[in-house]
Amino acid sequence: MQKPNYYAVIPADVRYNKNLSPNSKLLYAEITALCNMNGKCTASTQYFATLYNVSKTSIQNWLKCLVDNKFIIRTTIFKKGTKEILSRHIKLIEQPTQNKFRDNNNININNTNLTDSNKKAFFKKPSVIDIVDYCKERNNNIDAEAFIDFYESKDWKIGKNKMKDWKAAVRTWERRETKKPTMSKLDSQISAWQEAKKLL
Amino acid sequence: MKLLKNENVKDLAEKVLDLIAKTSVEIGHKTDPQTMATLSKIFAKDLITEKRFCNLTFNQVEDAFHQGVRFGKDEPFLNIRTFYKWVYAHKKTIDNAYYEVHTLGKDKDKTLWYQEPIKMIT
Repeated sequence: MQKPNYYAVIPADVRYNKNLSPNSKLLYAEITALCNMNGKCTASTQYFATLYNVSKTSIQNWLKCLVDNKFIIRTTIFKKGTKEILSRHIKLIEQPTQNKFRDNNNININNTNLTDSNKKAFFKKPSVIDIVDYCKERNNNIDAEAFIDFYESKDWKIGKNKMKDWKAAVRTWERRETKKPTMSKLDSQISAWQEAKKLL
Repeated sequence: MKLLKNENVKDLAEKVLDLIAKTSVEIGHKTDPQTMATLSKIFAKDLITEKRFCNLTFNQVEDAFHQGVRFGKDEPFLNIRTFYKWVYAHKKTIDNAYYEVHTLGKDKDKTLWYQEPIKMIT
């Protein structure tokens, strides 16, 4: 039997549905794979039963479970004038996830204004003045020119990824500055020696 | 120049502490004051009481540390065991130099680490 090597999709609604058994979820994934491959799923119960090495009844139960939870629609085509089944089609009912709803709402409400997350997608290189102003606001001692030169030499990349928020980078530098030990290693060694002398 | 057996424990402990502090900088280890003070006290006492070291001078101990930090085989640590290794290795070198001069008749000035035995003033 030829197994589909096309990818399968399990949406969050299906994945976290408490009414579905794990096997029903797996079957849903299988159906999505067949739908992605052929555009529709015409596989018979026998096909699934052989594929997963289970009985036809199990497959029927899983399918019923999916139908009951309104994740799929089964359409049966009968031979004209008889009750003989010609073919059966399984169709996925696409349910938009809550996130999709949220995104759509944002677009509807703020049609002209970009949301915060969209703003971040368009990174604009800061100027020295921008950084100096932000450093003044944060009251830190970061050298703005050193910051600019550092990231300019790296094409405004952090590791392999493009910088998304330069203010966050400034804050990271600020944190690193405060973490730096105020005393050098030699100073601490000398002070340890002087304290040890007192202890003798 | 005094032999270690004739040194005062307190004075020697102070000298040893200076030596340990210098060594800690040389090997780049950080040690807390309590450990340094305790190590100096223990090692000073050891130097005075140990028979194999008591006939050395403090300068020779300093040389031992100098050589140990730079040419020691093992990774240096600030502990008594490492100090013993260094001093013992240097004592062997000194003994060898003494043998070369007094038994093999080599020139004193050309023998590295040779030092004239300190005579007791009577």
